[in-house]
Amino acid sequence: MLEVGFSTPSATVWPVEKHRKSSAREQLGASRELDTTADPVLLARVAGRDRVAFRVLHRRHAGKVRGYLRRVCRDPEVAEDLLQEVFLGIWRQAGGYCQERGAVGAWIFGIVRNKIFDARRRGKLVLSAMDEAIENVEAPPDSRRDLRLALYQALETLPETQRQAVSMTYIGGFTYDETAARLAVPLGTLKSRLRAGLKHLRDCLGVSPT
Amino acid sequence: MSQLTGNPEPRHHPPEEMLVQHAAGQLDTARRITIEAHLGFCPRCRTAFARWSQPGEALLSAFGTAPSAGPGGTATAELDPAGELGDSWSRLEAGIDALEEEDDRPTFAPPPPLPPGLRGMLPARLYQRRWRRIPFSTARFTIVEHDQESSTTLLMVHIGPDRLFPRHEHLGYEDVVVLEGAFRDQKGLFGQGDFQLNEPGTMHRPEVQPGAPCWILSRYDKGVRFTGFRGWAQRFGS
Ligand SMILES: [Zn+2]
Repeated sequence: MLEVGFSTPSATVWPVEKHRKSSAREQLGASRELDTTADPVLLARVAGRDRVAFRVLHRRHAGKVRGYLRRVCRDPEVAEDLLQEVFLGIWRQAGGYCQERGAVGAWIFGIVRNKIFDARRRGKLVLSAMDEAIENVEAPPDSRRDLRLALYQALETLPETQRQAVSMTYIGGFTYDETAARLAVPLGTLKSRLRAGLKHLRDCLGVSPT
Repeated sequence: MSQLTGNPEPRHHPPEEMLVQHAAGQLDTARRITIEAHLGFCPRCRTAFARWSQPGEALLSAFGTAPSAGPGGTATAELDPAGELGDSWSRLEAGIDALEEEDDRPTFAPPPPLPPGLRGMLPARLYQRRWRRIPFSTARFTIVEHDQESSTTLLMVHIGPDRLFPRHEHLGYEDVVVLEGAFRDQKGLFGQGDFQLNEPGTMHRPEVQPGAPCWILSRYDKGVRFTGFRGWAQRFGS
């Protein structure tokens, strides 16, 4: 069926460094040194199959991802499996990140969202409604935490209809169809509410991607 | 110029609404791959997409920390000082070990250049899958993804230089992303990274430009129907 003859990869194939395996102790020691390294730098190293950098990235973000998944999924075991899938996804797709795409946290959130979508497709995920969670977001006690303060203010000032659209789809992982049905609005209305809601959030959070 | 390949930046982009849907995690796997392929080549859409995905960072922090901490939760809650994530890391390392280093290239042509990170979204041993020929054509294709529920299929297609892809009608929507080379049809010239969205009922006969083969990703939800003498081959994709 196939013709024979291997060809070398074309010149435009992007190089990927071979990964280097190191001992657990070596890894832990080295990872401490990277503790202050910025996320984009870590992710670039992960793209080059650097496990030490990946370990630091995991230490920095896995807690949040797990916390989020536990909130969204009703079953903690499913949340744990999804946590694994998210980080395997980060490992495999790390090369796709670049600073134009914004903060690493936002990029990771994208992978989280996709894994939730896939798990729902496979029918193994029951979601919790996030409406209440979003209502109960508290003002941060420490105003130095700028991003969170901005988020709190953004959610506070988000019109109710947009808040529902954002909390169900963007945060909660429900599909457009499910959300439109539950809110009893046409799909087009839901889409425009979501866009308006996201615009509002990003205006409050500061527009410029880093 | 594209940072990645030195080629001109794409001129044909997906609709903004698709970027919003991608940011909201609403895309099926096949379209996620076509959109990510385009983003890999298109700085303009990467920037647009970043605007829609930007709130994710704050939301992940806010909803990822203990409820009592809320968005004002302390950094230590995220850093897992108790080392609870140790088990998670061990399991993850085992998972990475299981991802073998692939030596996976098509046997009939050099592989297409894929934007960084895209290979990780595609299935393992992709090129060792069965690559079928489209009847009476030099084009070859393999099925990258097929989702029964939504009847969505993603193909990778290779067409030789200076060749015609058989004329066909779209029964549903079709996304096309060019990975390498270029083709022309009535909508214009589509080069590396360009995204074409074909509406149901439309018909075209892409003509590959001379000099280089054309590699594309094609995602369709209802299949295509070959017209003319290739009509019998309509099993393909339907
Ligand atoms: Zn674009």
